[in-house]
Amino acid sequence: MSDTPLLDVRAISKRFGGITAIDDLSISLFKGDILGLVGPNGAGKTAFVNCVTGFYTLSGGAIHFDGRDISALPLHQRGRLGLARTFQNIRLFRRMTVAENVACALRDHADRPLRSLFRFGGDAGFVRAARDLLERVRLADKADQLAGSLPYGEARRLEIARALATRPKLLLLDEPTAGMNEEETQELLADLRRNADLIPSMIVIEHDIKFIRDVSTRVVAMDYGRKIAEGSAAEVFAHPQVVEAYLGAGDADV
Amino acid sequence: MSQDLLFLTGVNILMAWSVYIILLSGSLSFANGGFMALGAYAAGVLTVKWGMNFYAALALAGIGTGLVGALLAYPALRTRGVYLILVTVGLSFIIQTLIQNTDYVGGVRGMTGMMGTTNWHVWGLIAIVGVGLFWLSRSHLQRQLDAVREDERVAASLGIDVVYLKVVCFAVGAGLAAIAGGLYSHYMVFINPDHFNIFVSIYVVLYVVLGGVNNFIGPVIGASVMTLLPELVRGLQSYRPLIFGVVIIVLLLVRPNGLLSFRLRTLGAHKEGGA
Repeated sequence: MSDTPLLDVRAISKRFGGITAIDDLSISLFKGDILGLVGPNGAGKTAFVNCVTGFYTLSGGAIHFDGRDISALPLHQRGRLGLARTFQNIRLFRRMTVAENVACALRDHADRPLRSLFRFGGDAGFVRAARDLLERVRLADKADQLAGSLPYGEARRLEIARALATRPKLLLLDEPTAGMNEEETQELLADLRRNADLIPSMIVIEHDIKFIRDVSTRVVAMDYGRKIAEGSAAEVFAHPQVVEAYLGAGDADV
Repeated sequence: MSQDLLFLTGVNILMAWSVYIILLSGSLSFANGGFMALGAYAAGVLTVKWGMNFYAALALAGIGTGLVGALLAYPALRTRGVYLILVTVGLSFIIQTLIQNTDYVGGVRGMTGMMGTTNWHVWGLIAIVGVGLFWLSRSHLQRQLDAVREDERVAASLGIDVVYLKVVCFAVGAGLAAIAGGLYSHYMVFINPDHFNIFVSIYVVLYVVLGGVNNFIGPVIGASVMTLLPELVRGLQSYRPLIFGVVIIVLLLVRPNGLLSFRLRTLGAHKEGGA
């Protein structure tokens, strides 16, 4: 682990008209960290992911990633630098096949699309790479189905495989277990562990406190666009402000 | 089928493909009638006034218009959806008006003296472009374009340079429309700006939409059917726009995704996907 953080978010803010989604938020993350991001609905967790990955432009502050200021970089350049994400409301390419969803994102071929017109070797390389990633998320047998036909849990796993195809340095998962039952959640946890070699660092937004405890090395709690607590899962979930944010003011017994 | 009809069908297929190529990246262009005009006039000037070789003139008109298309695409593509459509409609009008006011090419009176195009040229080019589009349909580039068309923000976040792909498609589409225009002017001998009014752009978009936007055969079917169908009822020539309109409405009701709606897969089994 080096001294410079992989991701260094410096006092960023994001405002929409009069509404402040993120307010003077600083978060840093080192290579190898798995950061759990918790907080009530509307706390600004997804807005944070949108700011880091480039879906939102910042209203203030700066974001450094891998030693570079990426605050003003467009989406695709942040993707190429090693940021990849999934979406709270799954956004697959629904009319493409499962294998195509992964193949279109493959890192080795992403940067020079026109060059692919001059490849005469067939697509065996793409098929193999896509199959490898699909096997990693237990979807190899669905490779030729349309992505839009996948049930919920499988669609979430495909989104993860698609993100991994870009060879990210930092993977951001936005509520990966939303809508899953306990068993599916455990399976997803196992999937993430099994593929740890492809996930150097990760930020996970989650409401499932057990999941956050199991997966993260560090936890940040947000409310009203601000960081209200940071530390180990045990510390954060015992923090009075976090308890209050989740359960409301008053005597809480968790 | 008469030579003229064969020629017209061929030019319309090339034009439909020029719209299809721009649509590959998710932009709908109503400017292709204008690009066709640029090519028709540019190639005409090069051969008639400058005495250039026919093929060189076509190539130069295509490349030049492609560059113009790329230059226009950068600002135009800052707009999206219906706004981009309006921008391209505007482009069509601007190009037509510019030509009408350029005395060097005859203004509203038109220009004459272009010749040399045969059906071999047109259908030879169709064969070449068709092979290219087939090759593209199996490529990684096609896969990235499909991703862009489905969700450009997500595609961009995966590292795909969406703006670049859109500009390239716009330039190639504009260039192809220009070459079709060059072939057209050198077959017709005489052209005037009215040959390239906004209805040309609209008709060509309709060929693609009615034929099918998801594969490169669809535009061929659309252009052929919509060119030949009115000829089958020659007695009703004056009702051509009416027939056109009725066919559009019926087709959109019966086959809203076009006559050929399947999408060719870029990976694995080369079978049809989707319905």
